[in-house]
Parts: sequence; C-alpha cells; structure tokens
Amino acid sequence: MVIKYRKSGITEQELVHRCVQEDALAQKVLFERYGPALQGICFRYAKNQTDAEEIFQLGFIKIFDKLVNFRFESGLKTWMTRIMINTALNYLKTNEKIKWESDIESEFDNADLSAEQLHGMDLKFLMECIQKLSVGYRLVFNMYAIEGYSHKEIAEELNITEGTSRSQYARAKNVLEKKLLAIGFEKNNYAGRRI
Amino acid sequence: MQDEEFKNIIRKKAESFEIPHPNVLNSILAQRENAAKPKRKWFMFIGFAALISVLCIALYMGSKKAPQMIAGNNIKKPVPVFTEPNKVKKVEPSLKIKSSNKKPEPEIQSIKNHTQNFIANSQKKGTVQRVKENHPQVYPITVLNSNIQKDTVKNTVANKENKYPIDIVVKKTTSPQTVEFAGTEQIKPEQKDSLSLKYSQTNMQTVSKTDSLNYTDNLTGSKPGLHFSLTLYGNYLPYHNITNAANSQEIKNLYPNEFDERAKLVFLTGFLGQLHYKNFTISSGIAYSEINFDKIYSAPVLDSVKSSVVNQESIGQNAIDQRFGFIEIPILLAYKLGNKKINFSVQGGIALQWMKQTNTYLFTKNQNEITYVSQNEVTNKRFNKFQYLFTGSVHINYAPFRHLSLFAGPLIRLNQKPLYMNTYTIKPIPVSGGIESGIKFNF
Repeated sequence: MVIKYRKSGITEQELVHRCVQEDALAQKVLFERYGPALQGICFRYAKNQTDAEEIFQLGFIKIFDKLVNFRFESGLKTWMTRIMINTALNYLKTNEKIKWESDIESEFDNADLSAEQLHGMDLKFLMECIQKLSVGYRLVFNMYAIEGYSHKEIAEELNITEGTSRSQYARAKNVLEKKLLAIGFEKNNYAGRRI
Repeated sequence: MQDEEFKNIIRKKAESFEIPHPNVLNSILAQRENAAKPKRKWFMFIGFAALISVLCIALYMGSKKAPQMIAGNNIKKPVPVFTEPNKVKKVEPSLKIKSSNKKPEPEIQSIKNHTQNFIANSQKKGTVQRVKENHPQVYPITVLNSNIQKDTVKNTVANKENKYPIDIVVKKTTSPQTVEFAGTEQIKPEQKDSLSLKYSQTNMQTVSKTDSLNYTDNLTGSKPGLHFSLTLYGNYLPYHNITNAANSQEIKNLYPNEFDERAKLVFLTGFLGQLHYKNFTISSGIAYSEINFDKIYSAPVLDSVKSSVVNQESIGQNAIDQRFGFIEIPILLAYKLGNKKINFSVQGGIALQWMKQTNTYLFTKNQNEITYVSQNEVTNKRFNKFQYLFTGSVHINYAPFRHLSLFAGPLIRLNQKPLYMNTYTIKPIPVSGGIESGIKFNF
C-alpha cells in the first residue's frame, strides 16, 4: 500500500524533512535533483571512473546520514557540494599519495587553447583530461577553477602555502590545455566540428 | 583565453552531467541499511546478554547470601534469661503464642521488654541477678525474620523429649519466609509438615541458641530461594494507534479516518517460564501474536494521492485485510507488591518478534460479484521481519491454591520499528493497549 505524492514542486525544506524521515520518494527526488552536479564533482576529483563512483556513493551516504543536522543556514546544494568535496579530498588523501609538483621550472610554454575550442569539447573527454592530471594539480584546479575556492582557502584546506596553490593551478591549467589540444588533435575528437 | 573565461566555461560544462543511474541510488540506500542493521542487532544482543548476566549474578549472589545471614553476624542472638540453670526446676512454660496469627506482635514485644529490663537491672546492680521463682511465666521467644537455605529444613525434630510446649508465632505470608527464633518450641501436629528445626533445644534454662525453622505458607507453597513456574497467558488489545514515522500528519489529513486505529485486533498467547527470587520474577518463553489491519478504502481526497494496490476504477468498494503474524520471545521482569493471597505486581520488559507470516486479503465488490484475492507476502522484502517492542503491565494476582494462581491486568505494548521497510512512505508503528490475563502453575 504505497501512497504516492507529487514529485515536482516540493520545496527544499520539505524535501530535507522527508528525506530525514527516510521517505524513499523524497530521497529519489533529492538524488535526481542534485545527483548530476555532485557526480560531476566526483568525476573531476577522482583519477578514474571507479574511484569517482565510490566517492559519489560515500558522499551520498554521508549526505543522507547528516541531513538531519542540516539547519538551512546555507543552501542545500552548497552544503551537499561541500560534503561531496570533503569526501573526495579524504578519499584522495587516503588512497593517493599527493605530490606537489616543484616550481623549479618557473617558465613553461603557454598552451594556446581558445574559448571556442574549449566550448566545443565533449564533457566526457574533458573529464578524462582532468582525471589524468596529477593528483596535486587535480585538487587545486578543481577547487580554484570550478568550486571557486580562493588560494588562501585551498592553502588551508590542503595544508600548503598560497604560493604553492597559485603555481599548482597555473601549471595544472597549462598542462590541461596542452592535454586537451594534444589528445584532441590525436583523436580528432572535436577538430572536425569546432577547430 | 583569459583565466576568468576559462573558469566559466569549465564550470558550465561541469554542471551538465546527466542524472546518475537509479541503481546507484538503490546501492546507496542498501549500503545505508546494511550499515545500520548490524548496529541495531549488536545493540539488541548486547543489551539482552547484559540483562541476563546481571540477573543471573544477582540471583547467584542472592542465593549465596542467604546462609551467611544464618551463620554470620547478622543474626541477633537472644539474650539468655536464665543464668543459673541448676536453680531452676522444670518449668511448664505458660507462654501461649497462638499460631492463628492473632496479635502476635504485643506478645513478642512483651518478651523483648522483659529481656531488656532484665539486662538493664543486671547492669545497674553490677551483678547478675539470679532468677528465682518469681521470674515471669514467659520464655523469651525472639523471632527474627531471615531466609535460610533449603537444607536446614531437612533437620526435623529428632528428640521430642527435649522439646517444650511453645507455639511459634509466624505471620502467614505468600512469599517464602524463614523464621529464626530463640526459645523452646513445640510443633503442633498440623504444622509438622511445614515446620522443622535445625537445632534441638537441650536445655530450656539456657535459651541462648538461635534456632531456625522454616515456615512454608500452605496457600502459595512458596519456598525460599529460586523456584520455577509456568504461565499460560493471553492478551486482548482493543486499543491501537498507528504512528506514522514518515508523514503521519499528511496522511492523517488526507485519510482522516483510515490510518488511525487501523489495526482491528491484536492478540497474543504463549507460555512463560519464570524464575522467582524474593519478590522479583524474571520470565521468558515463547508466544504468537497477530495484528490485523482491516480497512475499507474510500476515494482519495487529492488526485496526487493514489493507492497503488486498489484499482482506481473500483475504489470505494474495496477492502483490504492485512494480517501480520509474529513469533515472539518476551523477556520480562516483575516485582510483586504485597505477600497476601491477593496481591499486585508490576511487570515490564522487551519482546523480540520475528514475522512469521503476512497475509493480505483484497476484497473487491463489483455489483453482485465479490472478488477475493489472497496473497502470502512473507517473502516480500518490504516488511521489517525483525521487530522489537517494549511492554508494561500491572497485574492483580489471586492464589486460591498452593500450586495455582490467576492474574489479570492492563497492558501496553509499544513497537519500536515500523512494519514496513524504510523505502516505503507509510510506516505504521503499532501501539497497543488492552488486557492481559493468565494462569500460573508453581512448581
């Protein structure tokens, strides 16, 4: 005797309330509403799809478990994103040895990736390139370029200096652009369409 | 490309992920369920083991402590009254302490008073006062309530020549009681079966020993120490309230008369084995309980609320009868208030339940035709197979015979888990109240 109710139009507060009460339908709505963005975080931070799926599951379990403590002091999406990022960071710290690439080579060749080229890239291909960055680059790149952390926040979070964060980002971006260009041309994945 | 532009494009792309596959959510929910289950089970089993351990230790310590009270320092030795036995001739004691329980206290008190006065006078004069012919025509009988071991009962009176006629005053109680006394004694013929002495009195003039006897109340047959009884009992619980853990208020608003008091009958019957010690009783056994939900469905109030079971076209003419059967193991602790033939007891505990069977009967009435569908859903994963509940009751007990007693009283049962798994919207948690009664055989 399952009673169904409207999926759409449910407010954020009501959704949280019902999820706390283990309402299966509400959990599904939450998952469908915020799952894509949170899954994207996992794919960007992990080095491969398997790790990404594991982080995603761990993160969502934490979200469901901790929803009861959510006080609506921030947006639900922000709160969930924060949990997912923390889960990813903890996972990487545990399972990957983070190496911070040295800054000896202060000068490097600038990759010349245009906005149009970047726009035209396939999402899956972009994610693969981000995943192939070294773990240090990957972390700083994700946190600064996508999550919007400042270098100071990143430094505190990862226990590095602000300078290291800046240089890591600059190098990560450069390496990523090179990868996108090189692999893109090799595979001819997007050259025919946009480039 | 500027850094800001680069970041904006990357962010925009990062948000365009597709909805994860539904199986991922199922996997997450299953992991949560699995993570939660062992904790609950461990909690239950640890709690159960701790309860049993504490009770066993308490009972063991209690049974060890009893003989120490006899032989140890806890026993007040009565003060000798006669200090010079040679001067005293054989005295026919005139103490008449009736065994019919009529006002024994003043008589005992008079003995105590006499003993105290005697000691006080002796100390005052600095010498031991010799008892002369004018000594009171009573003998000090001090009755001390104390439990003794069963084996002391076996020592029956060996030499009747050394006995002197004195009645022992014992209050009749329904609880095991051992009486220690000092003095001479005579066992009345009707008491021979129930009274015995550990020590025999050899010299009535030096009444200094603490003798022990065991008095068994003929009404209840209760003996000191641990003993066992078996109870057959049944419950009828006409009051039910289904609390909905998920969205009770919403459901109540939508179905104002449907989701409250849906359970039509809860009954329970079973056997309990019991261990008694003093006024405490621990019980456990096996029982079968059943909850029946019987509801005629009316049309839904809102379009958004639809039943997935009842066909919409024929809604309003359907009835669903769901029956949940449980094998139940109660673990109960009771305390008896009062030791008379009629007394009260308070009982509480936990009951572990395993869902044995679930049957759903769907009746659809369409014009003159009635369709009846029955489905056994015991294998359905949507039910919580393992349940536990708290139970509490107050009994009035009546013991008309030595080996038999009857009891009855109000009972409340509070289930702690919903009948449905977490994945379902409706989570009825039964709360029941009613009457419990039974018959108890004492061994």
